[in-house]
Amino acid sequence: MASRVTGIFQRLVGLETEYAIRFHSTDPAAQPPSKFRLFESILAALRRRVPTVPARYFKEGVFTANGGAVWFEAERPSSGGGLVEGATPECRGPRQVLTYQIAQDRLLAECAQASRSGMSLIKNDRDAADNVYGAQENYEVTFAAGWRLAVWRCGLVLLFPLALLTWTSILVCVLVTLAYFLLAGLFYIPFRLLAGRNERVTLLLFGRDISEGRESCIHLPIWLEVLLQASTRLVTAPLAISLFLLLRLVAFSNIHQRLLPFLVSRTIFSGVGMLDAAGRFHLADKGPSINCVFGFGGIIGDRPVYSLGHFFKAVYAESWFSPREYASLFASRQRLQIAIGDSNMSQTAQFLRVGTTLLVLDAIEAGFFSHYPRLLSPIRALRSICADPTLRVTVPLRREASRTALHIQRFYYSGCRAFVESQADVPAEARDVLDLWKRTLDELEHPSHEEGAPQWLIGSVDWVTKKYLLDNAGANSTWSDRKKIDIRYHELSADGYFQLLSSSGLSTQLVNEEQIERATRTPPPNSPATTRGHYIREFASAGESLSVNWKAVVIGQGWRTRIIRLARYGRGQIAPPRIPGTHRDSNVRRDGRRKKG
Amino acid sequence: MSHEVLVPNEEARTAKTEVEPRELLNQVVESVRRDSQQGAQAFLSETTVPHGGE
Repeated sequence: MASRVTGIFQRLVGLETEYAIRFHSTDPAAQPPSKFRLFESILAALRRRVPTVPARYFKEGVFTANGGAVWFEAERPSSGGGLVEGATPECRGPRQVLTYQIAQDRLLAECAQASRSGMSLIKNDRDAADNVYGAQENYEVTFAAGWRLAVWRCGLVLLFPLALLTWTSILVCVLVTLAYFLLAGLFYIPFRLLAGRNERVTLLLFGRDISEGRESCIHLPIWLEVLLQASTRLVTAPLAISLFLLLRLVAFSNIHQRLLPFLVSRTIFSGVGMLDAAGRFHLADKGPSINCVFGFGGIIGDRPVYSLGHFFKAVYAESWFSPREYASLFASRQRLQIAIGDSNMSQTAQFLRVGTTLLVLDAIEAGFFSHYPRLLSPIRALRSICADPTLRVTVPLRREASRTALHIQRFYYSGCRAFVESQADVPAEARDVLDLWKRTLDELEHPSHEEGAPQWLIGSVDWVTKKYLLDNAGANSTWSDRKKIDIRYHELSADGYFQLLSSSGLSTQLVNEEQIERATRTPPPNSPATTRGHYIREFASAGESLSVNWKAVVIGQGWRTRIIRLARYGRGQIAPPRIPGTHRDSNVRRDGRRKKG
Repeated sequence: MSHEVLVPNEEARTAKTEVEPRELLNQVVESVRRDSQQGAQAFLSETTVPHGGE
């Protein structure tokens, strides 16, 4: 991993977005396809649009030619649920990540609609039953330094035996599962011969995939899936608890406290708005569900501001396949994953959400914000802010008077302005973020109304836009009608309500169509995605065996396997090197034999 | 293979239309209101995600 990054907008940033799949059948009597089957349809359409390669990962998915990824995400596959998850390539700067996010939204939405009639994607964070999913932001930051880094590294060494024990326990669970299927088969064969086919027994023993003869990503009976999940959590609990305590002691110590008040108050321009079960309006979709500052991200019902789940996955799962993953945890710069944000529709809100966060991180790592407003109770503050569309509520701070979210945002704006003015080399994009940030805060504080509508904010700030639609839903509208407005605002189709606004010219476009189209097919420069995307474009349809993950590209099979580590590439990377021994080496024929002479 | 660096593009900034924005907004609001009152229950059911995500 690179040493400390200085300057403005130089760090890597990437966004993960979970999309709900909506399938509207014209035949109400027909059983709808499973979410996994719908995801497969999207993947098939995606492969026809852009080069893709299989993901070398423990989730079902692919990497695409621009270096990003598409996965199937299912918390409990046997329940029939599941989401499409898109991850942008690693970018630098808010405009670049905005471009790749929009490209991803468009590409997946078009693939969904092209693959099956009646299918569309919903880019939001909460359904009508209050199930939560959605957006995560990833920023490359300094994980730890000095004694904290030393403690972290020593801790990783000490944890290794526990990790080995955990891997062994997981292996035992896998072997027990395989033994179960063997025994179930031995029981089922004579049972079927004697009693004939019995749907309920088949479903109970083998699950939907085998009993119904179709692939639905439901590889286990429901009871076994529940048992395995519980067993996995039990055997990984000692490792998870130890790792969590170590992370809390050392991780991101220079950053997380200084950043937290900014993230909590950022909701006033980054929230997408949400109608709860009681009909009350909140500024954000995820905000009201956030219940802790740090967590592993949903494993035990935790909904954190900062998710540390990727560290846990690296230790207990990814390291099992590749010990190098464990070694990569020793690096001084790691990924800070922020899980408090919503899936914005407005380009302005998306640009601001990422741009302001990048500026604050750059300022913090440059030594600014040594003094900052300390929230007395961050979670309570977040919920108070979310519950007040007037933006007048104040939140208690340590050793100073309570402040509004607007006041806290202006504090960070002023600090970032001072930081930018202190730098010699300032990208124009940074000034764009500051100008837009100030304009947005001014408009939120004193909206320029025109005939009752906050004209500038509509189409710019999602919660303001959504609230305007809800306020004009009609006196006779029911909760269901209004909840439909809440959710269909996020539908990625011509019928989606934000899309109606956008196509009417009522939302500012910050990137043009040419940039978006290019971003669907080519990776960003100066990033590990540059190399990843190159290999995908070069080898995806060339007959070479190729699989990819965030850290490496694997070409070939058996003894001819070549592994290209992407951590070595990034800044300054233009094109990948030729790989000796592959058909791309001009001295090697397509059949693998070397040319004569 | 060369790459084009994505740079801020002044031409990409399309200002919101100044042509009757209020009227356009009213039309969108009316479309949303009418559509929201049709098949709302079915829509909410179709967009449910059991057990959520990460």
